[in-house]
Amino acid sequence: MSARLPTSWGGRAGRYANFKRGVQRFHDPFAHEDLEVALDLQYENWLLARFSPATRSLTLFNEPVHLNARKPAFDAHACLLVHKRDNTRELQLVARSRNEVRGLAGARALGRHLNARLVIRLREDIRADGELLDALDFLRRNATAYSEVSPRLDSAVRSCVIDAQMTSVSAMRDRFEHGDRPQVDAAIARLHAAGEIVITFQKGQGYDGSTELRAG
Amino acid sequence: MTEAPNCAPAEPTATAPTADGVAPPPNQFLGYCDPTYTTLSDIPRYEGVFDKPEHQERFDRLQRALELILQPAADADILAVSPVKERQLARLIQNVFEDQGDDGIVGLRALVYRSGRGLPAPIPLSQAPSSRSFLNCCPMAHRDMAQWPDFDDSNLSGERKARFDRVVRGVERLLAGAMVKEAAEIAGVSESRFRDLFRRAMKVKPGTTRILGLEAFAGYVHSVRRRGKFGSLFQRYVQLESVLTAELLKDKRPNKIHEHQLVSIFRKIIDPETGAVPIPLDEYPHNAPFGLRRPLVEWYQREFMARYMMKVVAHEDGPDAAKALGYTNGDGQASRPSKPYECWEIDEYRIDLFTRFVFPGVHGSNEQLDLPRFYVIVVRERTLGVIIAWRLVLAKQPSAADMALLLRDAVMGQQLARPVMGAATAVEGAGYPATIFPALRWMGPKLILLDNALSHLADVVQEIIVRLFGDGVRFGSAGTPKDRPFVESEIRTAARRVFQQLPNSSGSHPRDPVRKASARRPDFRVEVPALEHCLCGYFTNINVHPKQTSGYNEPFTLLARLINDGALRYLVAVPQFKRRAHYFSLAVERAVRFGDGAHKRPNHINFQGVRYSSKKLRTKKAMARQRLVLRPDYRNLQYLVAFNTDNTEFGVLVAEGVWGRFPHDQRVRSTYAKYRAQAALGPRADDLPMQVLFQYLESGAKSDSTMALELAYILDYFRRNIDTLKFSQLDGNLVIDGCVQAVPEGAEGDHYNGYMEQYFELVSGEEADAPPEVQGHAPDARKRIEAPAAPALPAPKPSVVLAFHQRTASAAPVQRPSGSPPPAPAPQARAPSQAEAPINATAPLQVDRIKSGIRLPRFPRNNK
Repeated sequence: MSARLPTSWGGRAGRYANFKRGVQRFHDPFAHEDLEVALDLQYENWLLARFSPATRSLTLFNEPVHLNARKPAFDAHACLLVHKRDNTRELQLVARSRNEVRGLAGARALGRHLNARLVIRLREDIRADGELLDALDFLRRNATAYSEVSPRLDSAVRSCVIDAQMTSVSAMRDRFEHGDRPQVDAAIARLHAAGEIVITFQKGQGYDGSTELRAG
Repeated sequence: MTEAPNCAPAEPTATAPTADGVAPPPNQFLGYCDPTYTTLSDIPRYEGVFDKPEHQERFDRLQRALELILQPAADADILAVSPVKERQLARLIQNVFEDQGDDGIVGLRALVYRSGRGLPAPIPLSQAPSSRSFLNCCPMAHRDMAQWPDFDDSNLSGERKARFDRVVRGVERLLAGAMVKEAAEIAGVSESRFRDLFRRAMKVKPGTTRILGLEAFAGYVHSVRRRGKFGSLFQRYVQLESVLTAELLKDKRPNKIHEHQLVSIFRKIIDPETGAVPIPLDEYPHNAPFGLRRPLVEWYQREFMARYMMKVVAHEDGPDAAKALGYTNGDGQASRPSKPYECWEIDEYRIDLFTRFVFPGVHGSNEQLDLPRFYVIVVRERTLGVIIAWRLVLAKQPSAADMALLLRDAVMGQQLARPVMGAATAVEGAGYPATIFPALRWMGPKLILLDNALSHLADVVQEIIVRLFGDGVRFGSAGTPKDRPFVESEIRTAARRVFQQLPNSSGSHPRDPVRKASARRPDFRVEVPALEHCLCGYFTNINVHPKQTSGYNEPFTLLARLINDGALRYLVAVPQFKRRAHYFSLAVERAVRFGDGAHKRPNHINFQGVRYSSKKLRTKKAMARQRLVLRPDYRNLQYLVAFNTDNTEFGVLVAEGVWGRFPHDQRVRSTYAKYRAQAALGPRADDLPMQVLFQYLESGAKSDSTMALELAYILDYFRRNIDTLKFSQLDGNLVIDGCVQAVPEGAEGDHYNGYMEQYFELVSGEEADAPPEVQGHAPDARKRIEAPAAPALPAPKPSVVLAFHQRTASAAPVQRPSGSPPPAPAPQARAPSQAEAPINATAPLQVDRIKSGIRLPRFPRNNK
């Protein structure tokens, strides 16, 4: 593993290169890349897509997408291309309300171009479970903080879930030392993103000791 | 002497019958033609437009000449048509049939007139502005306008009707085969506008199966139905509304439009003799004077204000009020409400105060330095209103290193400022959350909101937030404080309650009466340590006083309750192995250099113009040309921590030469580098960097405010670090009363250990095993992490004379004689300063407890 060097964001020129208004930057600990989106909603949609068991990888178009093939031309930011485990693709766009959906219909041609199905996610769908979003963000931040640590706990966590049938987070935490708990959570997030185990969230519960784990 | 023919080429010149009886070509130009192209339609056409009509006429005549050549016609007929002479025509024909490889011949494009050299570039058909390609958007069924849906244009009048007729004529011309440009000129609109109009006409009308047709050319029709007599006025007199609106939006309008003014303006407009829109006297509203006021005011409030609200507010209440009104439209995004302690806001503010810095002079007197305004950076929690940390920046502009140190203080816990006066001290229980609540120590938030200041946009700031904390960082829209309203409000309140209450305040702006009042007492300026103490008391007391943001509760009380309830379970702590000063910096990769040629230097690394090395690096010859990742500590660049490219720690590198003998931070090094690059420090700058820098800044500090700030910063830095600083090592000629023992040459390890104890943050055994979840007991959960009483180094004297003496003979460092008595102990231990005080210095140094496999080098302790 080579030493990780910081990302060069480009200072003021890089700040306004793609996003004239607000921008949010964060780190993807699973793909080891730094990303930026314009809206909180797009980040939350990224979280849901990233931790979906059906997702294999993601492609976030940081640069604005301009489609001139159809009239009127279509411009969009932060189109999220989801590569699923069943070898299908989804082009996900977010909309704050149903009124915006009509304006995004031009992306259907972009989806065809990318060989992906267009899915428009509404705010009410994305934010249906706020506790779940907090939990997913917690797992992402934990995995980011420990992304440089050698994944020595990954195999142990994997064997606990698959072989020893430990199906709860609390059982997993008790299995390891107290100081290793953040790393256990990071290992669970990594294994979940890799599809080796699956975290089952209960609605409104978030991520706590009662959260269930199972083999992927 | 026979003159050679002008344009006769070698081969096709013969016009007489040849010897074998073959008939000569009917014209001399046929020889230049490609025999595969027999007619004009076979030759590639030109799809471009012409700048001038005469160019198009020239092109048409040349095209006709070419057609005659291919027929073939006689020379005389061809030259009669051709606009150019014989020789030039031959060249043009040659160019027409010039082979371009896969693209075929050049074609008729060669006949286009060009003032410069070269041929016009071929234009793709899709981009060609000709009518043929543009008409592709028009289905064949609609190429005839007679087949378009009917449209009743009787409702149109005036300019709108004239425009409609012009556009219709232009479209007719277009469908007849004219160019778009020509049709647009007929329509009286721009070419792009004409294209948009035509495309719109081809669209299907909503709710029907037919195209929009001529209706697209009618333009926008205001379809608001107004009721009553007043409403019908705007329909009968179309110009009335626009004239009235323009009159109300004039720049010279009175500040407030009252009802009687509104009526007066309206009456002037409709005056039958002098008004812009005259209305006869026998019509409404002249015949009903009392029936005008109410509908006019209603129109003003309901329609005019709704449509031109921003402009009206800008005129009547000023541009600032209009800007504030614009914020009510929102920032374009809706965020979920953040949970407590999960969202921080950071902002920097140039304080409204002219201050003074006092330092000991050469002869024991106090030197005074008047400072311009400088900055304060504040970190505030969003939901509860807790002040996380703050930092005073004695500089013209905060730097990325200042932000990095502030973020470190925010998660590590900031210490209270050194008390210099009796008032404005922190009350019992006041402090900063990471200091008061051990459970919040090293806990980062979920999101940090920043503005777009240059120091915030630096890579190191985002590196710390995004990767070290794992958080998200959000930059708001430019030019609006809407994204960070709480910290902006907090700083504004601090300015009103603190800065502007002190003497020599600059006020909010140059015309602020506060500035004028405080300028009457120019000699009474607040000193920087007093301001720091005052601000520390203010910001810490905020955390323990009822606040509106936290529902008129004490923020710390709520925080303790949340900790006790386990409500902060989604906070993520900085990993243990990263809780070191050098991780709050930007890693850079450098190659190990080695001596070659005349420079027989051992292995070393260059970093910011200074060589760094260590015993390990010097002795391992295999390290030459290897690359190392360096992590500096912005608070002290004396040492770097180096990592191999496989992420394992290599060790600590020490600055060589004079820069390795005393602590100095990023700004000290940058200031020196700036003036050295300007050649302002003289020829001996590298030998005596601090002496020449001090002398240079001192000479210009009285007249240059930037130099005054730089000098104040350097002196303040050394004052803060006087406990750990080996002042006698400063160039060897800084004389300090009661200087501490000098570090002998080559004893970097001893010095390093002393430094690491104070600047490396290592957790003790109890903290290492502490659970990441917060479990406290309010109010007992408040357990202040006491600042260390005093560093292990000798206590300083209460008064220290900093003075540089010009060195004349020897550059040997001034050392305390071995037989001389030790410096007198201070009357009381100096409390650590606000920003630079070491944290957890009382905890034992346990370098072998780091679990990440990283081991720090262990040096023998200095027991002297």
